[in-house]
Amino acid sequence: MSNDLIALAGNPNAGKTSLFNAITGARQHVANYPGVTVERKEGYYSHNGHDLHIVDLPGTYSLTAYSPEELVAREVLTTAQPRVVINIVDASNLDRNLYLTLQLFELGIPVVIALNMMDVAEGRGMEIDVVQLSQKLNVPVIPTIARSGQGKEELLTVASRIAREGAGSLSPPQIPYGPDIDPVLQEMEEKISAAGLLTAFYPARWTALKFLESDEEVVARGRATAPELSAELEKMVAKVSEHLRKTLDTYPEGIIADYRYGFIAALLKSGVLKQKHEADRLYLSDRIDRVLTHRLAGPLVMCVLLYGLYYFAFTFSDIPVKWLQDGFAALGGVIESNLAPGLLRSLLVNGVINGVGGILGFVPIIIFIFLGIAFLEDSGYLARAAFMLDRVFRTFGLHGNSFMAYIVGGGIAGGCGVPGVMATRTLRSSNERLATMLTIGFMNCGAKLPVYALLIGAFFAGNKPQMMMLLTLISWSMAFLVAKFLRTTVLRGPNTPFLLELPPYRLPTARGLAIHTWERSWLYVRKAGTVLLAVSILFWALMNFPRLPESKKAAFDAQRRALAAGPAWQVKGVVAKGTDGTASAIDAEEAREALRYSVAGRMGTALEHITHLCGFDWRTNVALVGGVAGKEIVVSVLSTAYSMGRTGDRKNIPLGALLAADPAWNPLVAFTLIIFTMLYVPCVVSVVCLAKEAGSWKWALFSVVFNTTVAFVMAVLIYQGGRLLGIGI
Amino acid sequence: MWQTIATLILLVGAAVYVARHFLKVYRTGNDSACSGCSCSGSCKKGGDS
Repeated sequence: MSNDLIALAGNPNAGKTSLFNAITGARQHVANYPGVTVERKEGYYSHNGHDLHIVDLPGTYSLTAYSPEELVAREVLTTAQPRVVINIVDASNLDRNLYLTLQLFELGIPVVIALNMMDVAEGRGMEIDVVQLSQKLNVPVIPTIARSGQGKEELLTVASRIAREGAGSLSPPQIPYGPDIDPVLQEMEEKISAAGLLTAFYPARWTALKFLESDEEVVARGRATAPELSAELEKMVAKVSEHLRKTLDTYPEGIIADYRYGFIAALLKSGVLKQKHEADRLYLSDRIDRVLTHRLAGPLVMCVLLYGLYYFAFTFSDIPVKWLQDGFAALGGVIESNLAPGLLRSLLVNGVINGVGGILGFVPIIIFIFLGIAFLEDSGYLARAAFMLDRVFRTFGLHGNSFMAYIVGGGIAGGCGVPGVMATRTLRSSNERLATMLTIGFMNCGAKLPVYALLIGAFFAGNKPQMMMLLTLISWSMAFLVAKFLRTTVLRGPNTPFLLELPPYRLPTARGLAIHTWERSWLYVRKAGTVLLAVSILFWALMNFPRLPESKKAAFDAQRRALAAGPAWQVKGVVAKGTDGTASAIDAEEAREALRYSVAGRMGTALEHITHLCGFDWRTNVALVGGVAGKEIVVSVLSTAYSMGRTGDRKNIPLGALLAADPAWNPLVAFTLIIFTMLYVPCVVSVVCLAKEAGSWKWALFSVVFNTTVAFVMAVLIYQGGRLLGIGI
Repeated sequence: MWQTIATLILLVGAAVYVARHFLKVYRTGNDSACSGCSCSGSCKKGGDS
């Protein structure tokens, strides 16, 4: 059975995704930031027995071909040809939102207007005459509040009826474009209609308008379909363009936009919109913005907010982190006391519990950070931060939209590079986009957080939030510097302008915060319990095979026998060098020797030739190799590696304490490792994603080599510099 | 002996899972296990609906 297709279209941040979620019951991510929906999303809903297929289009201000979102929206509207378009209009920004409405009218698809955020409009003293608006536009207008689902039923009833029965007598008005454009437009429309140029996809008038707007995509399709007619149309456009340039010093696209806005202004002034307050009244959002986007106070507030977030996360997570770590230690103890020594016991205790438990132990920190990010996102603050930082971004050859890609990728510790790379789709310039993609890997994604939490907890316990703040600043600085380098060398090109709507501030709801935090945290835990678990198991195998040869085992057995025989052995020097002459020390030494003998141990030892310059030993090297699969694996492998050498009463000591007590480690080594982890090769998934998005494996390979080189150089500089100055050793 | 067999099964299972996972990542260009992938709305085409 086929379903009637209904498309949700509207400006960014007008509430499309909220309405989509309210209708379909989905939990698509909603943020108080323009541009959350980059691709279309689909869902199904049955309304009074009528099955509806609902597609949520990316938020767009118009249907030109300037950005990927506009192209995606336009593509769906013209090729999938929905039965109805529900146009979500932000009632508090009618003049700007209706601009898209007029373009939807021109596409010839029946439109139902959902007049959303009526509560915000009323709060701003706006009084909208819905009946008059509907009459003047000759389309149904339904007031809604998408967040609470108010008006949803009526909206669906109307949309469902039109989808079934058609729009009937409802035909929206045709916008006049003035004495210069209208005659040409009409002539072009007739020619297009007569020749059937692209009429299977678009109405003839719309195609004519796109030719007048010099829309690259439509013009190219026209040229490919009917070269002669297209040439004739382009000639007509050139003529009217020349005339407009001479007489009004403008061009057709400008005139078309002017007339659309003029139509909207006239419509609203005709009694549709009444403003109850004085015109110069400052809304609460504007008042807050005076401080939060202030040239000097704004960045200061941003730093304070970030510091507060880290302080909150590390302070409140201390106790639950300890609970979890104790819990995993107890679980390991239960397995050890119930399972005889053997391969499976080692796998479960060292590989699974210490490996994955090492990552999961830090989940409370992740949850608190996700909660903080959700608050900043839902409140509308992040859009302000993007606005404030645009100037900085431009200085380094990036774009204001790069900000959101950075944030999604871990700009505030805790994101993920994969959606970060995908979020760059909102950038129009390919060079700005590539520069952003190639530097997102420097952000502090959620996978790096366990590494930071482990090492900060072990070596900088008194300054946790300060350290996280420092790491955030370092990652942004590195990204900026590298972006500048790329934009002045391999990715040269002009900067493109940045326009961003600042959404009103909203007090996040407890439910919204809980859902966003839960969604991200659950995915984090699920990742640890699936792919990270599997990778940890494989690394356990790499750290256990091949086993020590019998001759070496026999040597350790001899030491044990000598120890059992009495104290005389100590004098004879039978015990391995470096042990303290107890049975558990011999066990530990044998475990360490076995680990070095394994595939992973040999790999780590071979890398020591280079990495000793950064202060990394062979176990750290193995962990860093594992981190290519996912940065969390660094903790997992370190945890497994150190647990395999643990015996007796040292079994229950957390990894952080073991590292802090290890003479091979000190704050300088820990800091160097943190910086290396921050900067070196992005995880496999990010690299694949980058290759797909950049359209070439060349850039993915570049990212692998370049990031690792940058990381290595920085690590050597920090470690050798620290040693030279005697810092942290 | 049984521990060896159980370990072998777990190892093979892990290897198959990892191979399938990264093959899927290679084909689709994203990772549904990633904690950020559901939030940009850009990874999955209606996947969460």
